[in-house]
Amino acid sequence: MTRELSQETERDIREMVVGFFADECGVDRARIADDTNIIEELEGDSLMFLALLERVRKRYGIGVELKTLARHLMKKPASTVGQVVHLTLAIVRHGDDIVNVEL
Amino acid sequence: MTSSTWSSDCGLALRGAGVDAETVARFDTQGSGGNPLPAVFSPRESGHCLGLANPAAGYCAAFCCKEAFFKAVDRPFSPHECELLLDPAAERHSVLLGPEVREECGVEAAEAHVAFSEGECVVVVHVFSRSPEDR
Repeated sequence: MTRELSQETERDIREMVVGFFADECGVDRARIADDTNIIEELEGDSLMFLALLERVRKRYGIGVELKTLARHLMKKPASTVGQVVHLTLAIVRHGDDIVNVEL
Repeated sequence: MTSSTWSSDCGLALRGAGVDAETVARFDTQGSGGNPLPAVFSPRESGHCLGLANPAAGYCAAFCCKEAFFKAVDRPFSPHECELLLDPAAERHSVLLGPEVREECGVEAAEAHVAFSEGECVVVVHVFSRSPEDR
């Protein structure tokens, strides 16, 4: 089932992702752009991504299975902040159906 | 080495190995007071960790175990299907595998070697299948 997102919600999700990495990695928000590489430039890791996902779960009440998400990420890895924003929007929109969605 | 097949002491064939390391303090539960990542840690695993003198060590070892298992099998699986119940006095642990992960990953058993040093946890996971053909 697909959930329609308002522009405000999309902005909120983008802000949440950028703010999350800024806080976790101790980096000024202004230094984070869509093409910022999470591992190489921010020293982020899988645990950080899971913590972000937990925040998304709580905030938007989504229940995507990690196995489904891992399957999706093996096909289409997300290494930049912009890609994670895009992925997070897709998770909130599609939940477990994300594995069938062409991003 | 004369053979490409390694065996465990239970007669299974070694299918693969994975290693992962993490900082224990990242799993500090003081803020949440409970399971820090419910999608990752099963209720049984979390209950076990919360009963330990140092819950963060239990969560950290369990997390490293799942990551190391993933590296060994290179297939997505449900994290709740791969559990480690840390015994701080033991170095070697049997990994508790659910039926789905056994079937989908072709794994019969897995064992984890857990070590802590200077606030870091390192887990090495050995994954076994019934026969080398299951690899």
